[in-house]
Amino acid sequence: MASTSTSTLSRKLILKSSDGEKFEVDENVAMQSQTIKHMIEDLDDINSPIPVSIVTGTILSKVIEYCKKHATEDSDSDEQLKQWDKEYANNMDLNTLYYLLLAANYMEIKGLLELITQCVADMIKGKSPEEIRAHFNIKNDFTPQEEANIRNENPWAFEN
Amino acid sequence: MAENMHRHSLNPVRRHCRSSTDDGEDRLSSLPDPILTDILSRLPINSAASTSVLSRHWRHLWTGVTRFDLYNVKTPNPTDFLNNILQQLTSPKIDAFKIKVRSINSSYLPDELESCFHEICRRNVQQLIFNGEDYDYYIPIPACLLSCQSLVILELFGMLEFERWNKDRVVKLQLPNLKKLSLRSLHEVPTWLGSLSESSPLLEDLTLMFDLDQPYFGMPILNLNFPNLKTLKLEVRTVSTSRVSQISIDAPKLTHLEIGHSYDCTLPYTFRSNPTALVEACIDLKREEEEDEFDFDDEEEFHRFSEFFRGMYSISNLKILVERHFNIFVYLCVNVNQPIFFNLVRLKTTLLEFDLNDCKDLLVSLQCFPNLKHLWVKLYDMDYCSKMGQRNLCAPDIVPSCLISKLKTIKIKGLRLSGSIGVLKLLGYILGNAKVLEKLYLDAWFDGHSEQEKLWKEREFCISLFKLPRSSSTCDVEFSGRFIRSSSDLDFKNGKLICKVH
Repeated sequence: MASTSTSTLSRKLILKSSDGEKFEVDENVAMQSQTIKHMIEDLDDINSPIPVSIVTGTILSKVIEYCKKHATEDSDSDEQLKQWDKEYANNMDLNTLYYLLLAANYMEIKGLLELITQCVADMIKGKSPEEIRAHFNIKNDFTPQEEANIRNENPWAFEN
Repeated sequence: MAENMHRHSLNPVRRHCRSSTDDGEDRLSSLPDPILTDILSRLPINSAASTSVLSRHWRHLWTGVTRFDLYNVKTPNPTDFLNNILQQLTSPKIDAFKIKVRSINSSYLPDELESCFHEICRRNVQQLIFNGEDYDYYIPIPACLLSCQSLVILELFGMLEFERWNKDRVVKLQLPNLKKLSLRSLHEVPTWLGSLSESSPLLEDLTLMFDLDQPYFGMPILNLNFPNLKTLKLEVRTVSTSRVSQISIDAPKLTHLEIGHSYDCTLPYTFRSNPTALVEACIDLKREEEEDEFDFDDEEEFHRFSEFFRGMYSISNLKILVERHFNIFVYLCVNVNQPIFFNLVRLKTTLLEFDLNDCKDLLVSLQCFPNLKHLWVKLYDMDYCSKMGQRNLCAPDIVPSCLISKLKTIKIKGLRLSGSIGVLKLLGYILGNAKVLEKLYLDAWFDGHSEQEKLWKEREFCISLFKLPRSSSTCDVEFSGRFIRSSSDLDFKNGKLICKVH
């Protein structure tokens, strides 16, 4: 019995990115993605690569990095894990953050989705609309009059 | 296997990431709306609403947020203000509602606040934190909150008033999912509080602060019976003529306990079942101001307190701040069936009218804490000049085992002395027996006719203190007086004291 459970734990899966890169990962690492979990349930041949169709190899490697860290949560304290999360998110440029968000959303990895969402929210927090536009390259397509009208709808939102 | 597989290293082979400012693309806006709404839900509502002017795409995104955080509501009519925002929010679910209302010139927080709370409850709020601490008037809490079944966390701050509506109708508590409840403060005991146990069996964290501002008799017996409670904070403030009846605590999973209690009534707390999982407790029974003598029975009070103390035997971190005419440690000395606090590692305590008898009691009672590592004693009563200086220490017959092999830090604060012989005997006893002590910290000052005399006494005392033989080779002794602050490791070389006078 014991050997069966050990072999279940160390079962390997192969994930294939949209650009054809393949990654061999432990099953418990991949299973943090609800999407992959559901795919495996329907899969007959566990050895064939599982397509993660909208995620590129670069992004998938980062997703796996996160899942690996969080698959072995016993080894670290909550505090250490939080610190690791923080550094992980801080090392990403904006582009990577967007693609990670899309990947976490598609792969349904709750923890990663929350981490990156919070990271983007923190970038918005405390910034004026002008600063937000500049930071994220958002093009203002309102006329000055339209913008003034919207500000008047909820003036409390623009105080300070 | 495919040749481009990464087995061990997951470092990306190709790097084509650039900062978005390089290619000028607005990828944020191109994210799916549910993700953007989720991002906006993590912002204070004013910050979320300000994104409505970013671009047409962002115009109404914020109205889909599922959380409502606002920390500085100071409009003349908060009800209208909040309702106006709530009306704009389209999500059928509002997970969290957290607001802080500031004091404004209107004399009351109108009853219509009820309409606002109704709307939030209708949207199945899970976390509700309403802070009216800075508000100068009673805040009527609508009955609908107490039957909001979705609530998991409910925290209300301010002068809470539950009884305004309760007089006319009987409210049935329905909070089956509640895990955290915090009410600060209540000026009377709401009648529904008694049925909280049945209503909320999942409760893990309870904070109740009573500010019984009027002479208040007949506080009902309160049974706090919660099978899942882990943290309990109770604070009762009363005026002198008040009597608080029994508050019985039946929480077998309790790990953290905080009790704050003004002195003017007998200790009302009892454990119905001992909290055997208790890790940390702070029992603060300091007297707020001098009052007349009370007619309660010191003997009975002592007994009640002892029983309560005994119930906490599993604790590892205890802070016990008491101003009483009796010394709780006497109980531990005279009691034949001494409770042993095997887990206690950290003890902070206060002693009143300190003299050597109290001190001996404390030393003897250390027997009950065989694993104590950190001891902190603060002495009270500034007007009282300790007789300790002259008297002699009558050392306990048996040296407490924790003093020999466990105690690492001892801190004694607030010692006021006229002479030094007695206290040096006591400290000599401690230093001579403590084999693993790392730090002895002493905060004391001397009485004297002139500043010079006091300084001289401090200096002499300091030198004698540093010369005391120590069992522990790694022990540093630190003295802090009115003039001198010095450490035996740093400032005492070859029998000479070299330190700055301040």
